[in-house]
Amino acid sequence: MANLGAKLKRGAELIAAASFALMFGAFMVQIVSRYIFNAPVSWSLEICSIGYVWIVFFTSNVLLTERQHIVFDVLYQAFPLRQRRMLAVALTATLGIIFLAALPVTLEYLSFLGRRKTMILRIPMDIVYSCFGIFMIAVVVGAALRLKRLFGADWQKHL
Amino acid sequence: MSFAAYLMFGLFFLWSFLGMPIGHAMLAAAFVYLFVTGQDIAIAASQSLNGLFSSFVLMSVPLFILSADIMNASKITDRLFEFANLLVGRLRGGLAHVNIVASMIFSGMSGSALADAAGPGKLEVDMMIKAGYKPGFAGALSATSAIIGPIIPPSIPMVIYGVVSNTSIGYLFIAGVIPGLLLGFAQMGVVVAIAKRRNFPTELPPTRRQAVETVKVALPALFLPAIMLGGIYSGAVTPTEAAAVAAFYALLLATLWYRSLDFRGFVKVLVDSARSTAVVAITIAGALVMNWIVAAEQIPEAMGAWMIALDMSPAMFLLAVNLLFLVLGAFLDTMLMLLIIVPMLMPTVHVLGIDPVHFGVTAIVNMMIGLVTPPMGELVFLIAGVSGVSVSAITKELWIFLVVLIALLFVLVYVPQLTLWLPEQMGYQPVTAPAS
Repeated sequence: MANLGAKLKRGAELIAAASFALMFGAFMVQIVSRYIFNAPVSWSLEICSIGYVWIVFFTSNVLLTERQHIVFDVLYQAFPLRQRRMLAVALTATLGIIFLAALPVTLEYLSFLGRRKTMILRIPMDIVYSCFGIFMIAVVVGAALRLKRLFGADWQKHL
Repeated sequence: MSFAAYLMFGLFFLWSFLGMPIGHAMLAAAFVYLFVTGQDIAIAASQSLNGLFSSFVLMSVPLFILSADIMNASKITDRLFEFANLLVGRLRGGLAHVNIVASMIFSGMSGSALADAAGPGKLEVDMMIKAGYKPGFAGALSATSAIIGPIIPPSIPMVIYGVVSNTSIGYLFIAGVIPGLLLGFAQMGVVVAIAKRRNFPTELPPTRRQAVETVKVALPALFLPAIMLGGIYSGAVTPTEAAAVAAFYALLLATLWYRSLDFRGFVKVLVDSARSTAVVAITIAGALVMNWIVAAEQIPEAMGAWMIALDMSPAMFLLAVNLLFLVLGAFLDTMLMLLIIVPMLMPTVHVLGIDPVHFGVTAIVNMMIGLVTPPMGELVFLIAGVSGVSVSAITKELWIFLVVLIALLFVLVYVPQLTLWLPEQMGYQPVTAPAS
């Protein structure tokens, strides 16, 4: 189980690295074609955009835990451990429930986008934007996992 | 402003003050707003996705992060430190000056104060302690010198300000040069002022041979800011393209020239850069949705009308805004202030005839001071984290820097020429106050 988790994490890291390399590489193609060959290609800009939204929305909650994001935690840290646990449970549950409630409409919108394609490469928009679906699902799953840990025996480690 | 908008802001501030990640709290509050007003929930997805997909300016952020990460991972920054030592190591308080000069050079390559503190910061503190400086002073100086990072271009906060205020990134970058240098000189002034009394050590002058060797090693790295800034100033490339070229150059240096980064290391850098990018960009995504709602509710116009009704002069407005930012900056994250508060102030800035480039640069200097202001100085926490010096020891040594930095901030606010002179030489036409 731990082995599988490590493999999944490694796989996710490779997707993030590949998205970044894709965006970076496409930028270089763009610059070389424009300034060196004086014949700018347009498809590379689209690749940049696709790589960028994937870096952001794929990485955000698949590779980062809630506490690695920008948080204001002066008040949070000031609470005694038991109260902090209650606060963490309340906030995590709130976040998870709101994102879960917003998920069906969002997924419907994303799949509706399948009728539209990107301007140049004709890639269906539902595939390009599916990272947002992954992001929202990861927020919900992450919140559920965090709640489970907060109710578990070593909850203090997960505050 | 409707009840739903009050609810959105109320929930957002409640959740984020209690410790929900800021970007997630923005999205969650926006979902609630859309639900309560009966609008399409999918607006959140479409606003954030389309906003990021179509903004090439925002794509410079991951590229600036990448070049700084490559420089740090391949220890190129250490070579800059040696180079700075060659320049100013012989002065009394040599390493303290070296710390500041190295930060000034590195800030020409990195756009983030946190990257500056996380990279050269640890080395700077370690070397200063070894040379006999008090750990608290070494930490305080490394934290304050890191704030030069986003003032001297490139600058991630300036990119974000440019996007939310619709201001030219190129002119903002150029406008940051003189204030950034002044910040560095002001800090060096502090060191000079206290060096004698505290009996700071000096460094041995390097032999001619060492000097030549240091320059030879550092020179290729010193081209990096030249490439990036030269490209932007000459107008040959956009800031985003310049960021890509700089990252590519850093990659070539690290792999082929210094040979200090292998393929495995590069993949790790990519993953780390993706993480740092996501942390910043998810707050931008949340702000794109919230600002769409703010615009739909016509809140900035209402704020602008209210401010005008107060009949404030531009000078009063700048004073009020800067005092507000200094207080908020001690508690709030820079991203929150840039993404939520600044867009609300922009209509007033325009109506009062305050130049948006000048306003942006000084607002960012102000927010950077917030990064070292207790109790929530993120740079202080970061330096304490990487160096092992306690937060309280650093905080005790901070006050003299804070006094000087805040004094300089107000000079910059009330002498706009310091910021605007250089962009004017490049053809920028500053906004002037309407005749009253």
